[in-house]
Amino acid sequence: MQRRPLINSRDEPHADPAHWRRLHLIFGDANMSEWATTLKVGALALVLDLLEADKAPVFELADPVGALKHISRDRDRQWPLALAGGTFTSALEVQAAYLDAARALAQGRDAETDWVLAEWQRALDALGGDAQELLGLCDWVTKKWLLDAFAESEGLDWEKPDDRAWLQSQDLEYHNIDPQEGLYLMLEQQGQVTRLLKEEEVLRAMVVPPPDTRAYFRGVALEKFSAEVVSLNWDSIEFKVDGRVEVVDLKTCVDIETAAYYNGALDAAQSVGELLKKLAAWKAQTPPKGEV
Amino acid sequence: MEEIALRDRMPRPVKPMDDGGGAADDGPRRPKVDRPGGDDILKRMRKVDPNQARRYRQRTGQ
Repeated sequence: MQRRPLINSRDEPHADPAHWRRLHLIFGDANMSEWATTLKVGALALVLDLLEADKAPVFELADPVGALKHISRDRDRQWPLALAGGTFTSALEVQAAYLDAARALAQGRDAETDWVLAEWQRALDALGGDAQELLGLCDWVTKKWLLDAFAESEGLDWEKPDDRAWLQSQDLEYHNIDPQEGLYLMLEQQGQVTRLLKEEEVLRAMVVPPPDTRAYFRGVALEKFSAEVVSLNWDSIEFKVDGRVEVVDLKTCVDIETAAYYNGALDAAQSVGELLKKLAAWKAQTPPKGEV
Repeated sequence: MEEIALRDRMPRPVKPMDDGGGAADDGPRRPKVDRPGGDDILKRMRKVDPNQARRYRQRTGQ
């Protein structure tokens, strides 16, 4: 994909638009590896922590979007980056600076954070040395290994347009999510890539939202009081109670404390009326975010 | 990870990697493989339409 943006700036915050915006990061959607996805999300969470703490390293790139293309196509694996001031650094140096800052900020916070920091370091060490150490973990290393093996098996030459087109088609098939056809998923079935989760955990996560989220409230509300639900979206749920429609505004349910209260109230409520009373009590005692 | 505790702040695995063993601090192991395993995957790859990528580019305007 060559024209895909980094961020989709949707004018749809699913929260109070006076206080929140949503930047939908879509770069990296194609990851298949559980390890790569976990590291990507975990590292980004740490970068957001650094930004909130005003401790993020500062690199002003001359051409951020162009740099991504250069990095992904740099077969020399030096990954140079031009800075706005006319000097150069490298993608690995930028990553190392962020990793150092994240470590200083968050190491020891919890086991999950320490796992991310350790694997981030492992990735940078391998990318600066022998990238094959990430075979079965990192998508591009695994995909290149697979395509190289296929090229050798079939006598294909990357420099010949028709051969390259077939290899590029294999590249697409690596990401096919049909388990009967997708190349990554076939590798997974053969135990040639590393899984972090059991299949039953994945299947459960498809229907059981994380308990500290608004998704949990939506899912359980629909499951528990489906007869009373008139409409449901990310911003609100409409219930029909005693012939009238009552709206639960979910725009404020975007932080841990509010979500915990909402979800606890929902778990405890025996009726929609009881739930509405509990939520009204919370709203009365809690000033909206940003208006303290 | 055995269960997702519904009320916990951190339901994620403390040691998320069921990596098939190894020392606790080693992180997930990469699989020990030299070549893509078995004939199945190479057979599947031979069936991939060589023009799929070209059609994808045409379809997406890339």
